[in-house]
Amino acid sequence: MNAVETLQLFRIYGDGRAVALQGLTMNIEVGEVVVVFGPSGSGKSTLLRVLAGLDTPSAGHVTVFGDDLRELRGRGLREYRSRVLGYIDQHYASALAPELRARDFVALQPALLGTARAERHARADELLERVGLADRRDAYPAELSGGEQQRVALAAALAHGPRLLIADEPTGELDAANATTAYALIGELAREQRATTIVVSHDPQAATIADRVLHIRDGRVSAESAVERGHAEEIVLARGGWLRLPEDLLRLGGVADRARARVEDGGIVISPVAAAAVATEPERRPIARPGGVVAEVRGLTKAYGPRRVLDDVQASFRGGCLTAVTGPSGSGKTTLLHVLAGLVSPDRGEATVLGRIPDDELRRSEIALVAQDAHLIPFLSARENVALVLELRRAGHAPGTVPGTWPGEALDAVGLGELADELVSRLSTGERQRVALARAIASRPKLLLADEPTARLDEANARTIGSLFAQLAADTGAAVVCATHDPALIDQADARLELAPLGAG
Amino acid sequence: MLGLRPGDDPANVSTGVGGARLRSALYPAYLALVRLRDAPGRALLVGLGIATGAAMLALAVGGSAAVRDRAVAEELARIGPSDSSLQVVWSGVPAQAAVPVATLDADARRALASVVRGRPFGVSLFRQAQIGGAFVNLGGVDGLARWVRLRSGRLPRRCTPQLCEVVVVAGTGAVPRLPFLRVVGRGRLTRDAPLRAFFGAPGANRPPVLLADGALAVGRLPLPDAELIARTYGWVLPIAPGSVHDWEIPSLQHRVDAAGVRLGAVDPVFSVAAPLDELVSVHAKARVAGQRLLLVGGDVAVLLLAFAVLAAARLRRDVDDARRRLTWRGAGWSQLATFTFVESAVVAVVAVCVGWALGAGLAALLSRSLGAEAGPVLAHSVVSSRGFVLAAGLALGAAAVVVASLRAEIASFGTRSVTTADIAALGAVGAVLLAVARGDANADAVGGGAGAFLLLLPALVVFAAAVAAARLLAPAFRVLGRAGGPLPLRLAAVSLARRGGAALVASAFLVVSVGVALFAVSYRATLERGQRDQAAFAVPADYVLAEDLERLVTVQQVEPSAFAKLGDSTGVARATGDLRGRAVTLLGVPERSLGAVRGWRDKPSASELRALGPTARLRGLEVQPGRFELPVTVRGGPVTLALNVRKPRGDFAVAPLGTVETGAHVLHARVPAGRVIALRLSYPPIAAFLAGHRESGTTLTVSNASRGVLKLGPPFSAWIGTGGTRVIDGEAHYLVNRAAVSLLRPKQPTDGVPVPVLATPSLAALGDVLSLTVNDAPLTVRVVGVTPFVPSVSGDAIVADRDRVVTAVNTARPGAVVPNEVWVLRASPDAPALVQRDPLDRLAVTSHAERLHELRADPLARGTLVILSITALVALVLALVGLLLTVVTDARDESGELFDLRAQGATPGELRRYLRVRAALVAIAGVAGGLVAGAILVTLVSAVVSVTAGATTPLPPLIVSLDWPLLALGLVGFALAAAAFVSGATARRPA
Repeated sequence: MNAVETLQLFRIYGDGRAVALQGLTMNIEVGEVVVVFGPSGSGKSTLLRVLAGLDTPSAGHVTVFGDDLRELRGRGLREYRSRVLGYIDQHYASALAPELRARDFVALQPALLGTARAERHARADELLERVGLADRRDAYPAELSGGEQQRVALAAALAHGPRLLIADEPTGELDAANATTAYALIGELAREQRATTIVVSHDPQAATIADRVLHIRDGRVSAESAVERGHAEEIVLARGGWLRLPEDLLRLGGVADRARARVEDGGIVISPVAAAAVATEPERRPIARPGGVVAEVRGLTKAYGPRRVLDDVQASFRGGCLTAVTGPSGSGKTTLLHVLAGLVSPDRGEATVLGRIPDDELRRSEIALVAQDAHLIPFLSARENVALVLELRRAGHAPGTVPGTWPGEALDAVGLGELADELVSRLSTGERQRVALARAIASRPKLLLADEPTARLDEANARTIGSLFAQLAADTGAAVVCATHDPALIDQADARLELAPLGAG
Repeated sequence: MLGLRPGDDPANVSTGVGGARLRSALYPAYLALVRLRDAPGRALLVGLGIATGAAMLALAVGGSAAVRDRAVAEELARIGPSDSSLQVVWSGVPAQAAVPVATLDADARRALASVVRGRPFGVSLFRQAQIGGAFVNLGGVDGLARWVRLRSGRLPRRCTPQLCEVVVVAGTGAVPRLPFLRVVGRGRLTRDAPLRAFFGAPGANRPPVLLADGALAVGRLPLPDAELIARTYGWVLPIAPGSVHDWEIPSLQHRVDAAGVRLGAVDPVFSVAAPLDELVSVHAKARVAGQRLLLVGGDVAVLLLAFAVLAAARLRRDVDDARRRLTWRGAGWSQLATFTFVESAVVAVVAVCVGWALGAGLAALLSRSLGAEAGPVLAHSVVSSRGFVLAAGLALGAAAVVVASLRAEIASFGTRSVTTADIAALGAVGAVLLAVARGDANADAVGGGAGAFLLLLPALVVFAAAVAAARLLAPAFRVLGRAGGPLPLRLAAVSLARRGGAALVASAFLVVSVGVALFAVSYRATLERGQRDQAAFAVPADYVLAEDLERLVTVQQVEPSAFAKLGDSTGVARATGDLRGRAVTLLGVPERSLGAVRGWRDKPSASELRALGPTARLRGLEVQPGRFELPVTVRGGPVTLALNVRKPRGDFAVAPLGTVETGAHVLHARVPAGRVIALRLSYPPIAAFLAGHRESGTTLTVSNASRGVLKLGPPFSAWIGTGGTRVIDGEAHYLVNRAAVSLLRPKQPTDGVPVPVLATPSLAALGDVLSLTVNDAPLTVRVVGVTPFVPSVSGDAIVADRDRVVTAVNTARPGAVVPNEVWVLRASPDAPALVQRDPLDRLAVTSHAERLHELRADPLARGTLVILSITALVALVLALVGLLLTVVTDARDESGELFDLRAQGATPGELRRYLRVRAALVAIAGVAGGLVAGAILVTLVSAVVSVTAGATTPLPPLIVSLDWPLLALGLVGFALAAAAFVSGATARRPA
């Protein structure tokens, strides 16, 4: 029996300008662990919202354990959400109730179902022990690290014994080590609980727990791979013979916008139309031409209360180079970037950018920072957000003295040219992240600091961003410093600074 | 409430069957309490606003009761102890009584005790009779010593059949000479003795009033035929000011009626008297004032609810986060509703409790300042069962509004979609227009039956204004955002235009709060101006001195020099005329003084005043006091002659010359100093008497008249005749009878010329020239100007130059109108003392300053004005709190965006400017909208509730006023405080 079935699922928002799902069809068996990959904006989160009963499809069918979700109303929907469904949110910090201790939060869903306190606490304790947090059960979310918070969220999602567990980017804000742990736990617990599991992720690591991997593009399943078939990626043929070929394949095959198909040797051969064939070269990474030192830190030490995050860090960042700053969560990557941006003052040591202690003026003229969770101005369009920053950076300078490019070009560069006039509040998380990147690129800084810039991007987009950074560095001689644990980005870095985690001082 | 505390896990609430369901239902309430416990600060500002509103409402309720109670106490004090006491009276002859006197006494006392708490005392009074050879009033009073102030002798000590001691308390004349009756002292009844009904005003000129100590004791005296002497027994229960409260009046009326019925069953002769008419009247008046305070309370309630909406809008993100978490955890709608309601209800209930207690304290202070007892006032208002129900309703309403606001789509205000609020606002506008068109909003509505609409009126107006503001602001900000200018300004404008849901609610709240503040300030100014207008209208000069109607002393009887010392004074003639059965007040004021007269609603223009002139004085023959000689030759029938003399002080005298018949005579009369303005010819009295007898026999013949020719020397020979006399060749041909008075008089400047007057509109509408009679004298006037109200006159009136109108009237009928008032237009510093002293204290003196002081001291007025002032202040404070709440929550909710902007190069100063500019835009838009809403509200309400601060119908009517200096001061103060608060709130964000 299938746990989840979707057939020709469509979800069209508002006036039809945004189509999140367009004919998505998939089946997931009971107890199966499925990981869904897809680029930002491909409809992954919408799929999860539909499966959670928080959104209604515009057309098509969706059933979970035989229940048609479009028919569920009132008590039925509530019963579905409270008893059948377990949900892990990508923003685990905001998903946790700040006023509840770990144990109470894990026991929240059973409590809402009326489970007696002793019973639900026993269940919570069992799960917290299972995720390695038995000794942290009385801690409030603010007292837990990011990894711990995510593990609490996982335990909370399983506390009521859901039959369907869905997780939206569960490790998007975790470092690689914590992500590995999280995925392992999700896989183990889901199988222990016999919960059918759907994990939406960009992280290839997620595939390690999957029975099956689905790839979603443009609102429909484009490919899948299964453990039982040796992880071989198979293109999914949609109803009516529609299939979507990967862009790499098209590029390698020289197919542009027209192709011919024919049966040959028991298979179908797709070949480019001669006139339309475009000789495209694979994107090449520009060659770095290291310049002088743009930024430098010497003996940098910083602590937040008793917790040291940086201790005597020495580093220099050269112009024309993309430097990856890596390290587990809590190792001070973000703090280092903030010190270099002049937003945080070190306790000891110093940071210099272009020979000066970074301050407001220097940041405005020479530094761009892409925060991990960039809070763009939601009531402005993507273009206006970029323009706002450019105007801001020009303030106090004579016109033309601050280098920059047109907002449209920068948005084109990150692949958002078509969405330039869309309010950012209507963009997906990944698209917003790309607007933030466009904003930084447009200002043509001497030092570009990016904090986990690819955390919510698929691998292809992550590589594109890496190339953009490298290109920017090569073209403008800027120093690009990325705090990341994304291998796709690390691979493209010219230099790498590994930060080690520190304990309480 | 569910009775849960944060420590009480619902898991312990119930076990067994149904326990799970109960736990499931209660757990969201527990969560809400946990949230409040862990983050009480989040609800602090919300609670503060609701508590302030609740305090104001409690103050309005308590203050209303206090001013009403005080008004009743003052009315009791005003009418005096005799009229304010509760009295049972039995009159008759004991031998004919249905029951013995002792039974009457017991029943009467019992009946009084059932009406009002207290111990009545007895009074008895024998019918005025000759006792012991003297005509006296004999009576007795229980506890006599309390009511008598001795002048000589001592107070009576005993009254037995053998010896009864009495004291003379009033009257003059002989006292009885009886062996068992002894006068031991003389004195008078004290002013607070409630005995006027029995013994009359102290000091009256009447036979002696002899009182013994003991009401029933005198009945036992061995007087001849004592049992047959009619007498009155009375039982008096003084009602001191403050001993009967406003809220007791309806039941008092009922108890008095019941007592009357019970006593009537004992003996129909019994009667019960109580100051019910006065109390009911003041109760009704106080009710109007109380309802108006509730109108202010309605404003405050709107303010409170608006603040609740604002607070909810600001808390929305936080509550939405919590609800989203619960939703993801499978909470159903009922659980989400429980969670939201409990969180809102706890804040609302706690805030209303605190605010209600605070308001009760303020009401107690207000009661004390008014001189009312705080305890009983509170017990019958704020802390009564009705008060608690009101508070509970308020808490429920506030909680419901918070919940509704948390769930409403406030963001829609920035879009084109039509919201429930839009429809409700349209409904509110329609209701107001419909009510105004139907006349529900008429001037008597507060006192009448349309009070409910009036209570809703402020709410409807400010609600509609708030929604309109929220609707109009988004496009306005959109335009501003496109208009260019500094980046912080443009960004702030765009942010308000595109994401202005909560910010627009903040602006809308400012519209409400500033509107209510402006309404309160303006209404207060209107009422204060009304007080000034009423005082000026009632007493149009610093002092008005007129004849004391009890002492019958006219202003002419006072030396003019006494008036001169008072300052710039002038005589004024006031008389009542008749225009086709319509009473018209004639006011004659010197034209040159009219400009200095107060109390005009529309002051007459200079040209109108000029048109009243020129002044004209009576012409005549100047005479010195003493003997006046008049040679006269008569041909024809007898005629009686007299001189009409106008005295220097403006009054008139008649100097009889006697009756003459054919022949030459030299007549004499004693004349005062002055001017002879006419020689009066009349039918001789004897002839008139005889003619009267003939007429009664229905026979009227020409012989009932007298005809002849009068030959007089100069200047009389040059005068003209009226009323049956004609002057031909220097001889006066007369025909006089009983019906007419004939005059021989000099030609006067007003002859044949209508007197120019200013008239009230209804008179002016009758025509340009009006003919009326004033004290039987014909008067023709020409309307040269219209004035809506004439100072000191209620109803139709005309104003003319004094001398001109006096001349015109007295020409026709000498003495018909004389200056009978003196108006002191500009009083000297000594005037206040002088009017208290002889000779001016013999006149009826009214003072403008005193009248104004009385109006201002009226507890109803004071209470209203105090509460309006507090309302304005609270509204402005709430506006500041609302603005602060907006800035603080904006900075908190947008901390991520602000940090991001800073990371992109914005300096902390630029971010502060952005936040401050946005707050300024919200504030400016809100204040501007509030001024408009307030103006609409005050225009509507002031037009509707046209009663004075003291809850009386005002004369002249109220007109909407604004205290511009106070308004400017308030706006500047608000701007400075808002700037300081906003600067403080944004100083550290983002550092």
